Amino acid sequence: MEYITFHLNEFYLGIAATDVLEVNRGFQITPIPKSPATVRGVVNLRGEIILAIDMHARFQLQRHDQSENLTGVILSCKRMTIAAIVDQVGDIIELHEDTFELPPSNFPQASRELILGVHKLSEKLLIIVDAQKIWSDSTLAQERQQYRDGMSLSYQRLAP
Amino acid sequence: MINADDADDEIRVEFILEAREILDQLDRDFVRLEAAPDELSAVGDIFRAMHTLKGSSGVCGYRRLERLAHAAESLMGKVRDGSLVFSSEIVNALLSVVDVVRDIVQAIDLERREAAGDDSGLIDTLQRLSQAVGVSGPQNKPDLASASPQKKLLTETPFKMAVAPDGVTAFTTDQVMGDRELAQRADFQADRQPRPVDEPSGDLNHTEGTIAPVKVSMEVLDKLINLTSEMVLARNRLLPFSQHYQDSNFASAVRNIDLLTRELQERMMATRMEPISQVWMKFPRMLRDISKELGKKVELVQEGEETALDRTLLDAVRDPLVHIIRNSVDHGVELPDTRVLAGKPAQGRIALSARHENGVVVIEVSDDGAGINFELIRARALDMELITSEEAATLDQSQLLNFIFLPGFSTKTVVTSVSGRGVGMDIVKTNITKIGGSIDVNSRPGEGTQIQLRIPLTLAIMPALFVRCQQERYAIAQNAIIELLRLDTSDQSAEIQDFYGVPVFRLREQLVPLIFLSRQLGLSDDTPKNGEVLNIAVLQSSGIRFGLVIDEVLEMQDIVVKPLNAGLKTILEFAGATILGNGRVALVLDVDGIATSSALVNKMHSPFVEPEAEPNPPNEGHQIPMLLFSVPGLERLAIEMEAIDRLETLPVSRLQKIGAQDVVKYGVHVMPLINLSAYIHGAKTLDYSDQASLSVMVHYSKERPFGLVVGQFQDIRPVSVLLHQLDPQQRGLKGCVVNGEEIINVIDLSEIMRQYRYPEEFLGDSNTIDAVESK
Repeated sequence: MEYITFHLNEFYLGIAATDVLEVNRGFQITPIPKSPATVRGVVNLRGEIILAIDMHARFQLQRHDQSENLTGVILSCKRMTIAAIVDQVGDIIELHEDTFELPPSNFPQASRELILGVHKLSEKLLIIVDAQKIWSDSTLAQERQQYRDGMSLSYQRLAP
Repeated sequence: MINADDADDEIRVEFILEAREILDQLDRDFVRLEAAPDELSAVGDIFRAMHTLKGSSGVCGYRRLERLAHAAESLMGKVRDGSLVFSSEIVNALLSVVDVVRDIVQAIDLERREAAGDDSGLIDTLQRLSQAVGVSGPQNKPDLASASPQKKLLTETPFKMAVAPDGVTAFTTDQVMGDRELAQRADFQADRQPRPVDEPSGDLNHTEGTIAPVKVSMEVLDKLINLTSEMVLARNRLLPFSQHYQDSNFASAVRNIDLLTRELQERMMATRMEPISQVWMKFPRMLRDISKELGKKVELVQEGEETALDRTLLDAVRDPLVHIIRNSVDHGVELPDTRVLAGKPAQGRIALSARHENGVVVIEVSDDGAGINFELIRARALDMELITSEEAATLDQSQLLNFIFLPGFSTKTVVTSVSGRGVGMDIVKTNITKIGGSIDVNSRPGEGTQIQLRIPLTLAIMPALFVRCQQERYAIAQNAIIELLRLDTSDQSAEIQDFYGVPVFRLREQLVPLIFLSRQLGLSDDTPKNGEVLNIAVLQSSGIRFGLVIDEVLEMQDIVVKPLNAGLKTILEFAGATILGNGRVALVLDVDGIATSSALVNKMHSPFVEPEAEPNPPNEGHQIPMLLFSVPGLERLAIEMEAIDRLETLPVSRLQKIGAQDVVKYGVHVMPLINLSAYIHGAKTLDYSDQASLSVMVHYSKERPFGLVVGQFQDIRPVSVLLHQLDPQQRGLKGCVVNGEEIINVIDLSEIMRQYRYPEEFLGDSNTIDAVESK
């Protein structure tokens, strides 16, 4: 199976190539005030306005890189086109089932639902992301819940 | 090869389209026939339409439809061969068939299959009518139709019937029988082609030799339109290069692209346009039904039905036009006797016209009725204490006309099913304004009323003002903007004041509340201090007028509004987004949403901060129209009329489910039903299954209808705005007002909508929400 690989901080991740439509660089994102933290904003994809998902926020990671030159993996998630904003896109690699394992149990719970499993490569781990879980309406509800619980990762980021 | 499901889908969609076309045509034919019972071509057309319907229903396996159409066709066959005289009893029976068929087709569209149901009553009626002649018909022909089912089939075969008017010579060949199956399929098309020779051809609807239009899905079209506008933007980026490089070949290639793009854009926009006859088609039938009900005689004249406008706008003008025409028949055109007494023909006349005029579409509805009774308006306005008696004396006709656009204002003393609920012209006006149009009324007592709607050609492009807030640009629809101003708050007379917790400023002796956009959007916590210069856009939302403080006013520009992702609908502040010339996305502000979300609407409804407030605080005398209703356990509840667009009584049978949510199909929308009794403290939950029909208030939020289910409507009446706070707060209630001896509870719609949208936030308050959800 083929995977499009990308980086988020120190992590190396992959998405099934069948879910990916294209990779775009140099996006101009318009932030949406009051939207949850996972929503980085909206972008124009050839006349269609699509959501840009902040993958750092989705995995509850700190975002180090503040550059405006953004890379987005355009993918289809539940029949909706979205842009997953990542640090950097790597190679397309083909992998065999043999190296696949279920996610280690010490993964943080919050990101577990996003992860299908890992491929053990010779030098590092490739984390396989479930494209269909990247955005859902329940993400919104969850974040509202977290916000109320004081875990508060949303509603603060927006001042650019 | 596509799979069987898809193929079925396709056949069903085809069938529904065709059936709807036939039904619309039938409506027109019946009205035509009733006006001129000798019109043979109409009889033939109806007969053929029923036959086609029967044929295609049979092919698709819709047995109910097939049986109904069959019975109707038999009846029409009798009329056609002259053995039965056309009566209004027959028309009524056949129109009932059309209605039932329409419902069934609608159900097929929604549920992808034919709903079960019993039509035997109707079919019996049809059979009785068609048999009546066998006994007492003028020519006393042998009753072929009922004698033998086989022969009955034969009488219906259109090709044979057409050449055998006396109905006897038709039984010549057995081949007809065998051919029937084949013929039925062919009829799908054949019936709409040149009619049999002996038919007088007075019908212009089926033009011969034209190419059949192709059906394209909306989705494909929208995508194409999207791509076209992107193409335009790409072209714009390309143009400067041709000036930069002095290469004539390059320049001519670019010019070519420029021209092609421009033409492409024009043609694409044209695909959105459709003739207004799409909407008008249904009116003759509607008019007939209403005038019959009211015992009036009305003729409908149409002019300019080919006038084209944007498809989305067509949908938007449909309801307002229906309303206006209903009004014209009900309030305008007099009863036949009255008309004759006034020296007018007994038959009234309603004229519909449409035309293009300077880039807008002008639609006019005029009647030759009694005209608007200005004195009645004056009296009613006085009655409702909207004006004082001194004011009443000075108001001229055009000022009086404004009252008919007020919510809850009706001069009709009796509520009929046609009109008089007072929920009318205000909605017409709201809907027309919503699409950027305007409405104008002219009336002369005794001579009639003329209502003129001016509608923009297209919704796709609308003028908007860009403003800056922090680093971002936002667009505001121009028709929400009243004025723009700079307020120098260092000037004492222009200071921002705090009015019971709401910042306000003084604009020509009126207090206008302020909303700070950057705070509203959560971008900053600072409140500008007095001493700064503020940029303010004074905006009119459907509830109130307010000033929006922004950082900078930028330019005016035509924009194309596109929807935001469905998941972001909960952010009320945005109506959508648009793509700027440089390809970036800018958000479009929702003026109503900002007002709602800022809670300003609620605060303004409290008595202390009425923006129009006179120097002294409002007293008990200040009143606004409210709708009074009950739910089980609570007798006297009220809601502001302006929150309600429409009152409906929906049969419980129309309810459908999406998950645990009750919904009904409402126009083009799926309308969720909100059981109000579950959201209000002290009410007993209304159980739908005990009811035959539900009383529903339709409330629009973000252009989507929500049905608020109540126990019973009681009254529309002006009620004091002096709200007594409840202590402790009661869930779902804003407060109460005292009206004489009676205490009326005013419900808090925005809180109820919040409970409905985010039930989890209210869990723990009470278990009533659980009860609703588990239902």
